[in-house]
Amino acid sequence: MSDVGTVFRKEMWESFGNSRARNQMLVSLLVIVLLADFGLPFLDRDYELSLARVLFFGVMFSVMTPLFSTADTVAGERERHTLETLLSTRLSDRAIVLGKLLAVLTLGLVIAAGMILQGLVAVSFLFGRFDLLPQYLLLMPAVLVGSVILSIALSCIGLLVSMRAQTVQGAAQITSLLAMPVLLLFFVGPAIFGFLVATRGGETVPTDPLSTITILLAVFVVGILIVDVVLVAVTVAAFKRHRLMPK
Amino acid sequence: MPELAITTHGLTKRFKETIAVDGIDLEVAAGTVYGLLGPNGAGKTTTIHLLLGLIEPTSGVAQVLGLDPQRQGARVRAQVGALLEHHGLYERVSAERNLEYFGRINGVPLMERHARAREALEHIGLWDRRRELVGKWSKGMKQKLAIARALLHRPPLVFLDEPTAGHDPASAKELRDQLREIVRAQGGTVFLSTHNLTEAEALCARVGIIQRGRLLIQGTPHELRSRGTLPRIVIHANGVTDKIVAQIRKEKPVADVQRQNGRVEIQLHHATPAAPIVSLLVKGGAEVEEVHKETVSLEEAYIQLTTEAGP
Repeated sequence: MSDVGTVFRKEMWESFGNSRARNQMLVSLLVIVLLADFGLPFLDRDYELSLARVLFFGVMFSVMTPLFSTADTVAGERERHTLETLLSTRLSDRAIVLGKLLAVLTLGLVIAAGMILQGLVAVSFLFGRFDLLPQYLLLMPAVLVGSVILSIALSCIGLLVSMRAQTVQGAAQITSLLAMPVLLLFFVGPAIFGFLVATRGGETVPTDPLSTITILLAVFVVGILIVDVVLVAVTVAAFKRHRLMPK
Repeated sequence: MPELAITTHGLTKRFKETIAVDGIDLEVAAGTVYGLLGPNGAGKTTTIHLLLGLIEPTSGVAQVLGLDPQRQGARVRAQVGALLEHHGLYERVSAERNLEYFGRINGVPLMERHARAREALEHIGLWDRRRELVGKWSKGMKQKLAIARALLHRPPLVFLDEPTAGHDPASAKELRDQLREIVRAQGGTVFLSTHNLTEAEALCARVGIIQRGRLLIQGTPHELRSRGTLPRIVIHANGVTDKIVAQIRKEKPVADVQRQNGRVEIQLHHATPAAPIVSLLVKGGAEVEEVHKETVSLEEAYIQLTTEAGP
């Protein structure tokens, strides 16, 4: 575990350790946040739907950020000629993979948590209502856990791509193609959600534990968890020094 | 530590149609500097990768510090330091954090880690720039830091692939002194790959010459020089007649004599004093102006050996 932590720390240093990278990320986030905060209320003109959309966008960012970050994990090390040195250390293949995976997931989680939190508060301010805010804030941890469950599978796929790609650009191109169906799901998702809300008479948060939505959601989560376990095992197995070394 | 830090028997690595390393038999004594010499693409880097357990050999066996790099790769890598073909530093991270990262990986305790990082950075004169991103540094500075990183956990065996590439002459000499110090003070072993023959001659107790994956020869630099070209004496003298040249040719250690414009070049079968030959010249009436023995450099021996081995 200590080795996983060592790799994780280095990944964090590379992402946030210098002011240039930090500023670039903060500016991008600020633009997205401002667009979302002021765009959502105008899009829906409905307090509850706007709050629900904040959750959707939060999940989307927590899933897409790790997916795109994985392009740099192995291909980036290969491109910058640090992979060979990393592989010549005593770190196990497993520690390297898990450390990198943990770093991209944390990045996505932190960004999503920040976006959801400020989004819920900002939307409430813009509508001048706060009655549903506590309910949505309570829902936030469950949403984040759900998004991490989704992110694990996608990040593993991203890591597998990054292991095979020779350059970050190459990895990013393939990852972008893979991200298309996921993005599509996110755009179709709110429509499905809206439809389900409509069928439930406007109630966005299911209260009945045995409702169809809850059962479907539970089956979906368990299914994704199984996929996660399989993909993590496949990714760890695929990360082999002799395969990754330059010929 | 075993007497031999590295041994290999018939170590071979084939990449599809290319044989990168072809049946190498190596013996590197502990506490010495061993130099693997060869042109680009000769198989030096692949040999280091095999010894570190980073790639699997097609055939043959290797032992590094008494361990099998293929089955005990992690244990081998825990006990060695390595500076490979590229410096391998994280350029988006500061120098201090680069050392911190590799110190943590190698299990150097926290306080010790900081102390050693400071010592290393002060030694290479970069302590004041420790918080700068490595990407902003010159190639030579990066190379110095990379060597400091490889030595941070004080490993008993260090692999250095072209370590003075990018160094100016002064810092290259500094590095050579540092490597000598590792061997002297820590009893460590250094496995060095280079095509800088002057460096190999100055540092290495033993050298091996590799070409197209085959180890052509190994021995001390002196042995290699002896195997490469015959020693010779060059004499500048006036009045050297054919008779004198014939007399010199009759001398036992003399292999050949060439005369051109007052310069007499005498090839010897083995190293021998110049005095009897000079005496012959003087007795024959020649006026000797200058005598010097030419020792064959490792570079000449290397060129001859690799040329003999073919392209």
